[in-house]
Order: sequence, then C-alpha cells, then structure tokens
Amino acid sequence: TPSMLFEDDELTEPEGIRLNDLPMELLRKIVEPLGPRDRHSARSCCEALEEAVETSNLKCFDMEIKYDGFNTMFEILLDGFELFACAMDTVEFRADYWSNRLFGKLKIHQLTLHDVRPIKAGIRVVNEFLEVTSFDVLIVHLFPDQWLCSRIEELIKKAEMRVDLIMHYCAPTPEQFLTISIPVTINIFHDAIWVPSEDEHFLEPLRRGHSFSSVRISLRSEQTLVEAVKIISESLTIQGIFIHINEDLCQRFLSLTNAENTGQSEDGSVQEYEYRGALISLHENEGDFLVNSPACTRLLDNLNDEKC
Amino acid sequence: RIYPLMRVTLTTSDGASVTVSRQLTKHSGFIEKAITDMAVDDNAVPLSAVAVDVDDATLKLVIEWLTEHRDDALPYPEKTDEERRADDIPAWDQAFVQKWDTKEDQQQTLYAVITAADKLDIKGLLDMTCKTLANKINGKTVEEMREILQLECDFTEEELAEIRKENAWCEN
Repeated sequence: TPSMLFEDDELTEPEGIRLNDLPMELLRKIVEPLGPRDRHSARSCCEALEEAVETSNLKCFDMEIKYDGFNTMFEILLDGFELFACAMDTVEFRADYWSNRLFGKLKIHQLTLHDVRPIKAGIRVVNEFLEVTSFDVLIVHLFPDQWLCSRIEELIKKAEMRVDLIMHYCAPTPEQFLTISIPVTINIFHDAIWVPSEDEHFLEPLRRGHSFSSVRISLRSEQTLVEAVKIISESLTIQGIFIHINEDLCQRFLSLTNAENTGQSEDGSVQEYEYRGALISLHENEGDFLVNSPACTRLLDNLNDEKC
Repeated sequence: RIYPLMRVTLTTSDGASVTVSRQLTKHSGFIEKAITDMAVDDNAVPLSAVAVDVDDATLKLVIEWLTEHRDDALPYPEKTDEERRADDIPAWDQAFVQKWDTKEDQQQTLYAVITAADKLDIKGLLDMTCKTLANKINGKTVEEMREILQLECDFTEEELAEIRKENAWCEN
C-alpha cells in the first residue's frame, strides 16, 4: 500500500535527495550553462558531475586557435579560457588531454584561426576539437604566401552563417579565388592596397558571390564600379562590398553616373552620394564605396530591429 | 480547451490530497497526460484523483510557483543554441528560491523541487531550478562546489591523484 511504501522509504532513505540521485539528464541540464572554467571545476567534484560535464553540450561565443611562430607555441582558447597551450613539438604528446572532457559537442558562434599553420600541420588535437564543433562564423587570418588548404576548405563548408578571410599585407590571386567553393568575405588589412592586374579580377569574385569588406583597391575604370553595383544589386544572396578607392576614380564614377548628392558631413569635408542603392562618401583623398545586395540589406534591417 | 473553474485532486506520495485548478495543472505535462488517459468527462468537478510521486511539502512549493506562472504561454518555448545563459531568471522566481535559503535543508528543497518538476514535466520550473543551481556553483572552486552541492568526493585515491595532475597541468 502507499503507506507501507512510505514507511519503507523512511527506513531506507533518511537523508533525502542528493545531487547524485538526480538522473543524468538533469545533471547535464544543470552543467549546460556553465562555461569552460566552471566545467573544469565541476568535473573534479564527483563521478556523476564528471560524466555530466563530459556528455553535455557546451555553447560558447568564440574559440580561437593561435600560433606564436617565434616561440612555436600553439594555443586553443574557448571564451578566453586557455584549453590548450604547448610547444608544437610536444603537441601530440598532450593531444588527448581535453578530448571528451569538457563537453560532448561544442557549439560556438565564432571560430577564429589566427594562423593557419596548426591546421595545415594536421595536428590531432585541433582535428579532434573541430570534429565535435559546430560554428556560425569562421574567421581565417592569412599572411603573405599563405593560402587555404583542403582542411580549411572543409571548415569553410562547415560554417553555418559566414566566412571572413582576413588578408594581412596580401590579396588573393585570381587563381586562388577559383579555389574557394562557397561565398566568403575578403578583408584586406594594414593599409595594403590591392592592385588587380585587370579590373575583371575584382568583378569575377563578385559574380561568384564573394564579398569585399574594408578593402583598399586600385581599379582602372569607373565602368568597373558601375558593373559592380549591377552585380550586387541583382544578387539573390547576402553579399556586399565596402571598398576604398582613390579620389580620381571616385570623381570619374560620379560624373559618369550623375550620382545624386545626398548630403555632407557637418564640417563639409565629406560629401555623400547615392547611385542605385550604392552609397559613396568622398573624403579629401579617397572615396568609400558601399553597396549591399537586397538580401543583405534585409538582414541588416532585421538585425537593427532586433537591437531596437 | 481548459476551463478555469475545473479542478483536479492530486494525491501526494505521503498520502495528502490537494485540489487545484486545471489552469495550474495545464503546465504539467504529466498531470495533463494522466487526465487525458483517464478519458473522464472534462466537466467532472473535481476530476478523479491523480497520484503524483511528490511529497506534500514539495507539491505546495510547486503549486505556489504554478500559481504565479498560471498565465505563462504554452507550449513552453524550446531553447535555442544561444539560450544557454543562466542569468535570466525572473525576479519573482529568484525571490521564491531565495526564501528557501533560510531553511536548514535549502539544498534538499532545491533538489526536491527539481525532481518534482522533472517528474511532473513542468518545463518552466525545471529550467528555472536547474539555472538556479548552475548559478550557485558559477565561479566557485571544486571545494566550494562540493560544499554548496553537499557532495561527497567519490573518486578513488588513484583518480584523485590523476585529477590533481591534470589540474596542475591546466593551471600551468
């Protein structure tokens, strides 16, 4: 009878409910919001929490893979928590340390590869991490004489939202553009000016769905910009360009298109124009040229609404 | 369709009976399923008793929470990947849980409510109590976590030695 059962319960379980009595599913739910550092502590508390940590999914904002070429040190950081750091020549020795210890699967918003050398070297710990990781945004930093390898191509395909290639003191060649299988955004940093040997080398990536962001570029013809506006405004995908061009080219483009002057900055040093959705800001020596595809504009509007 | 005046009697594991409005029990997947399985006339007042594997004291807390959340939207929204945060507990819920801190067995109470929310399939309460527990151990050392959670270390000496080795390596 219920009353007899209750008496038995009193005899056998006088201490009440303990954490270890909770089903594993609930323990996973409890540790799920914990970040990497707290998970590291929780798994050292008792066997039940150790299992809960190892089998629950972890969601983080960012994961960074760094490589210090000078000291040949290699690091993995998860939301700023250093998961792994050691010299490249000892990396395999310690490779299995974190595997399956802090999470079952890892979901991150942004994966940043500060250097592609650890990926190209095929280090096991990196592969193990990436095997169980899904991410929205992939950011790859590339330096002169570096380009993507098949492993990074696989990562590009895994990115669920966006891929940014950040070029330092270099720009992709037309042949390299052909190797990128899905649309990416190219950023060129550190005041480097991209001088394509033909304007077509700028247009062809746009036709393939790629975007350019913060790229200082030297183009020959104002017609190239008109064509770029046409490609982007007709694009059905999320695509855009934000480039810096020289003043002369900017003036020729404005004359050719009769772009409408839409205003100026308070001190009058920046003149603003619009041409078929493209926004042009003419500074003292340079013009900023911004155009987004309709899908990109809608996305940005939605994001702004959400922020509001 | 749930009629606000409909009532259901719940019998607890320690033999008590509590009659509550269907407006509250609609948030419990377990009770709603039990009522459906009985295939009784929805107009019966009160409905036949539903046995719940929860003691009287815990059920009272569950009912207090359900009363506050009686107008919450159903179904309970599924969490997305971005919603792993534990710092979004409503003020009333925080105060509700903090009241237990004055009890000697406050940790036991929290475990009991988590278990009850799980058994009764009350997703909002389960989410809130699990987040509360996660917040309690957030930023704490291993020893502090054990104390808060009232845990005995059940690792063997060899396992502890291994953990110490791992921790020393991580801290380095």
